[in-house]
Amino acid sequence: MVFASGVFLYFFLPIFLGIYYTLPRRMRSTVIAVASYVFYGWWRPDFVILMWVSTAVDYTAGQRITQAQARQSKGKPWLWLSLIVNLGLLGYFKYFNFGVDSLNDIFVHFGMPTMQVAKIVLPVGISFYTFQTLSYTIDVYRGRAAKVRSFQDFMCYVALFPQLVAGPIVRYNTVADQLVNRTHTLEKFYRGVLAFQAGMAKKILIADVLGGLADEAFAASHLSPGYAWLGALAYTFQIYFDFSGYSDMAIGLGLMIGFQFPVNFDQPYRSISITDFWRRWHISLSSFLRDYLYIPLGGNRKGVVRTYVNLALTMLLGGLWHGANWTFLIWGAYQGFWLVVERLSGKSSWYAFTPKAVQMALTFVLVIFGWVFFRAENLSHALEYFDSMFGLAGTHGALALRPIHAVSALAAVVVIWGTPTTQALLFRASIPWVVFLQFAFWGSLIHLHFVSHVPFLYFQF
Amino acid sequence: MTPEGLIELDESVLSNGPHKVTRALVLLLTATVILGTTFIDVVFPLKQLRLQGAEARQYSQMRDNAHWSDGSLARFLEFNYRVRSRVRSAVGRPYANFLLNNLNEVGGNCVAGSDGWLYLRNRIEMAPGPMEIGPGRTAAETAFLARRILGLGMRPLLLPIPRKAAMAGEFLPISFESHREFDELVLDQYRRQGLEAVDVLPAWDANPDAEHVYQRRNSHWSTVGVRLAAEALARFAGMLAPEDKRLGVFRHRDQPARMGDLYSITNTTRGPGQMRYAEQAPYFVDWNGQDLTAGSPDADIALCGTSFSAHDTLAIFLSHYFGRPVQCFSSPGDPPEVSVEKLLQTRGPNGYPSVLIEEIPNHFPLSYAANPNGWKAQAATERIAQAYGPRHILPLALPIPVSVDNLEIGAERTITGGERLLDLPEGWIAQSGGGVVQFGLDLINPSGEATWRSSAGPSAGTRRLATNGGAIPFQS
Repeated sequence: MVFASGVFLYFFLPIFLGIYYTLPRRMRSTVIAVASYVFYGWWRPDFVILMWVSTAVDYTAGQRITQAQARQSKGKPWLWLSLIVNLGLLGYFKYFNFGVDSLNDIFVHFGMPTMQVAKIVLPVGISFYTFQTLSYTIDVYRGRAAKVRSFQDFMCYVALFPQLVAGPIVRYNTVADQLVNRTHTLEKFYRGVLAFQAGMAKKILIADVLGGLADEAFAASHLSPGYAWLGALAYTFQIYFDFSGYSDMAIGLGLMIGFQFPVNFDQPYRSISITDFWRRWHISLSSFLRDYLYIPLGGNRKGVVRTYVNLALTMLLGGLWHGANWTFLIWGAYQGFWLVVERLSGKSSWYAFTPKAVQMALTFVLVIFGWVFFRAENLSHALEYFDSMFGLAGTHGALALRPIHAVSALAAVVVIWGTPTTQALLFRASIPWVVFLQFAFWGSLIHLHFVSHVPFLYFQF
Repeated sequence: MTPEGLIELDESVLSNGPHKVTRALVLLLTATVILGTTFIDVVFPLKQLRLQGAEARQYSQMRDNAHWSDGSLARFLEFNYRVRSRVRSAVGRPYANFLLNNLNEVGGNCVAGSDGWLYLRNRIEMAPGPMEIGPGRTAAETAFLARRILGLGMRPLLLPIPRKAAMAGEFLPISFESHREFDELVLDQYRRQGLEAVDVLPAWDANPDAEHVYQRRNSHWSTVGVRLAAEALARFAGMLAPEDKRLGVFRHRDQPARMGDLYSITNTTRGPGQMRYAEQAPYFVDWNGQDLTAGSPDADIALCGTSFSAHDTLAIFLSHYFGRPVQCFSSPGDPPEVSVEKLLQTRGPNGYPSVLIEEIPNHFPLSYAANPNGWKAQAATERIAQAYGPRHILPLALPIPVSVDNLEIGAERTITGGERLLDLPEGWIAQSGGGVVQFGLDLINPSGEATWRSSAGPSAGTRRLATNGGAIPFQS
């Protein structure tokens, strides 16, 4: 089920909230878990079983690790079990096809017979909830979190539908207390409604409208440079408003049921470097990769060369996390490359002395280049698109620009560079903003009636 | 944000805000909008749509196959809710009109051109791969059907209808091309198969009427398009009746144009493409008071086709120009093969007509090229092949005995290394319906080439096919 759909908005959400607030507090975690299974299994009920497997394994692992630690043992085998099961499921469902296809390409190259295997369907959101369950086991193992109080709480944590399929990635130790004791106030609910409305408007009125333009651009064989840049810019806006819109909705829904989720975006297109960008973009993922991959690899504690290697490797795997495609790997490598370059150049480079506006503009262009890799079907497609952007393509095509694109693009520019973050606006909740938000929300509801539903981009990751 | 990275919510600051009235209003309004929509759509849903043809079958299939275990029930419920939502219907229409009139914006699968022209996206976008694929396959299947029709004593006449984009390309958005060469290629492929196919493009290009051959906000042709095509067909067939022998006379009427079916697809009106022919014709054929639409069960000329001819307008104009009644079997929402099957079943006991006109829009070959697996005509064609096949058949049991282990017909399989796929004894005909051998080779991944060797018949010799993508059909 998706948030931006009639079934969710007019049936699932009111029924869920009605039941949630009617039942006593002690049953609310169970209500969330059951509702989340309905939400997740709406389109593919069989995939709920995978989530149950993950839940059961990590719950057991957490219990056993705690018991082992009480006996002065570390409980390492249980950590390994969790890693093998979770990463095994993720690897099989997400990367198996990619592996087979890549091997077949090699076989074909050498004239060898290829492997014939059935295509595996990727369960939505597996990358997100796998990381969450892993964070629980690892945190318990490291002693940074106590084992969960009850199985119901753990089911609730793993399946928590507001952020289940596209984040933010909620680490166990950040919500452990909230699973047991969370407050439900009208004020919190109100802010939750506002956040949800803001996310909805971002998704429907900006991301989806500009997404059509981006799709057209990337489907075109060759575009003239101006149109190619516009297409890349449209995707740059689309991915931000789609993903941050989802995160806002998730945060809002969380607040409606008393949860405070992590902030996931902090004006990333105002970054002054790629390093800065990764402090502001998909913060829950970058901090997860930092704490559970970069630092365990040694971080910056094992010499200069190893630091760069760790940095590049982390970004490479971060890219691969987004999808089983060489384009994501290249995108990760591209990000890693710039992180290394920025670290190498240090704070005394010429770049550090250029005006902030120039730094912001340069970073934005680098980010756009990255999104071309991210959006392209494959490497050759990405290179062809770059050809168009730089006028190297043989023929020149155009995009069907329409007034609605201009309206959405203008709104995108104003939101990105002219207004504070949703969180900041939420905190202030000034009357003009709230009134504007109501119109935007109603507009997005009406627009939702008009268009066919468009799934969130990050569902595929 | 908090030190843990969580969203900041300092209750003491929030609760001190002077916005309690705002808060109450926001919550009240939001609850009213959400719960109000739920209430109205549950208690007062719209009536079920009356669907026809393929759309009705697809809906029934969707409903019958809906099961909770694979999510198909969920999709069906969502679809049903969307179609029957009263709020969507009430709110969506004015909004769609607003968008169209002020921002030239349309939803769904439509594309808005200039001057109010609307197009179906899948009829203006070319499928990837060689342009010949769709027309080649469609022409082969149509020829296959024509052989059956000829065998039953009827003269098949084909009326390929050029696409809207080919005729009204000047109104397309800048990023789209009319690709008129596609329509010329379709005609060429039909004729290569030996079919009697009329070229209506010259007649349409020379249209002297102020009315365009296509309707602006409808996916179908206008009355002028129908009239010119009917005249061109009669002339092409050598059956154009002299002026004094024609049936009926033209009459003019002055009726304002209403919304076309593309309005319904863009949500401006309700229903999935059911508002055909809503733009009223400025003139029509008056057959001296007789009711032409009642049909002529013993007519010597029959018309089969799609929604382009399903509402008798073409049959009436054909009757006019042929000077003889034309019985219409066309079915909206279906490929022409379905109405051919209907004709064969209906007229079989009492004798077939001498002429069968098959109207087939050129977007059919395009849709085949875009989605070979979803080719709608195949089922009807195969039923016709079984019911009206040649008398002498050398049956070839499926799966075809081949030298590749476990090859399944229609299965995805990557084959490399040049294995022999099929080895027929000399003189045999492998048939998918009489004298036709068709192999669809999917050479998408990896790209490659195939060799077809035949020692007899029109395809004697060796043909090598190479591709870097797309399914290559070839037949002998």
